Amino acid sequence: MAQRPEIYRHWHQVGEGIMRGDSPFTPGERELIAGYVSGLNACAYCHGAHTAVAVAFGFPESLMPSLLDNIDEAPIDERMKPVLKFVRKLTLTPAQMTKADAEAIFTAGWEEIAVHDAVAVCCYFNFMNRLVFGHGIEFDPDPDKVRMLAERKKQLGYANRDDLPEDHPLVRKVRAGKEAISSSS
Amino acid sequence: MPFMKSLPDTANVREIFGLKPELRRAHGEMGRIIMRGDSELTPAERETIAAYVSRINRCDYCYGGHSELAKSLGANSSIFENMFDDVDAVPVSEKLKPILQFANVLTLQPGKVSQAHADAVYAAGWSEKALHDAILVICRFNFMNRLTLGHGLDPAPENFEKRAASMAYSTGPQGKE
Repeated sequence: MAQRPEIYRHWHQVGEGIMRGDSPFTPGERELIAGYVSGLNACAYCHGAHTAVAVAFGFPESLMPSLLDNIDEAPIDERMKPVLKFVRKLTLTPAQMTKADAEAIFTAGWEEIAVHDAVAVCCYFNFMNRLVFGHGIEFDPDPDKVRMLAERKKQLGYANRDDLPEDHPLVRKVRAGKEAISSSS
Repeated sequence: MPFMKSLPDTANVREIFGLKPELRRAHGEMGRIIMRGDSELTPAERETIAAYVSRINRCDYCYGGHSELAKSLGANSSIFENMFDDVDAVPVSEKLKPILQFANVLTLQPGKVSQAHADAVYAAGWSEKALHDAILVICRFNFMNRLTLGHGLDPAPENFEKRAASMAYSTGPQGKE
């Protein structure tokens, strides 16, 4: 990404909006969707990294394998199940989406924008997984490093702060996050 | 028919971004750079890649608009006559074929991309930067195809040409997608 800063400046803004902007889904739920989509695509890099961020937000480590095995039997809030089924289908067989897939999300009690937000996370990671695979980037599974990076992503989010003014709310958030990390280590 | 009542029956991509206007500008600007910025790949070649990815994802909405756009930029129109799946069966240039083959694997079996796929692109005379540029087009359309299919947009073939004209990325930093 460092090779093309003019592109990724915009991409980070899209990522921050999708993953941390206003949404009926918590940031942790969105990271869970991100890790799940990446697992379906067998992208070890994004799957490992974003599952760890979901864990940093409080989901148990055992959840992701059981979701990938069988959504219906996984120990997760029933409301998330139609959402995960929707993104599973949109990732693996995108042309087969039907209105019924979206209706199942509404029936579970989500408002309309939830469909858009789930689609957006799914799209973002179908992009990211292919960016990683297309460049042959490999995942470093060192658990300490994964946890450290996940904690950083939890606190700092997705924005590329180099392009923002000093008083921008994201820059302040990043600065607060950095201080929190350095004081805890 | 869109899956959300808040989208009209005739909704297009612009109306999806209307749901989150704060994302539209960054996403549109990124599209302009990926599809029209400096690259060894011509805009027509990038639109051909976009149409091909959309075709193999069976996204009629994106295929329609971007195949028309590729043609209007000078791509051989017979490439698109039969909604191509098989790169070898259509008159794309020999040079572009390994990029489309790379796009096929990265789109349908992303974990199967190997050094050999990249080497085939280099052997056809493309640089590493050109491959990176092609990967961005492939990634973007794996995003866009799922955005339109995930919202249930009507492909509306009668609008393909109109949509292609509105996507000419000619409106400066706002983009128009």
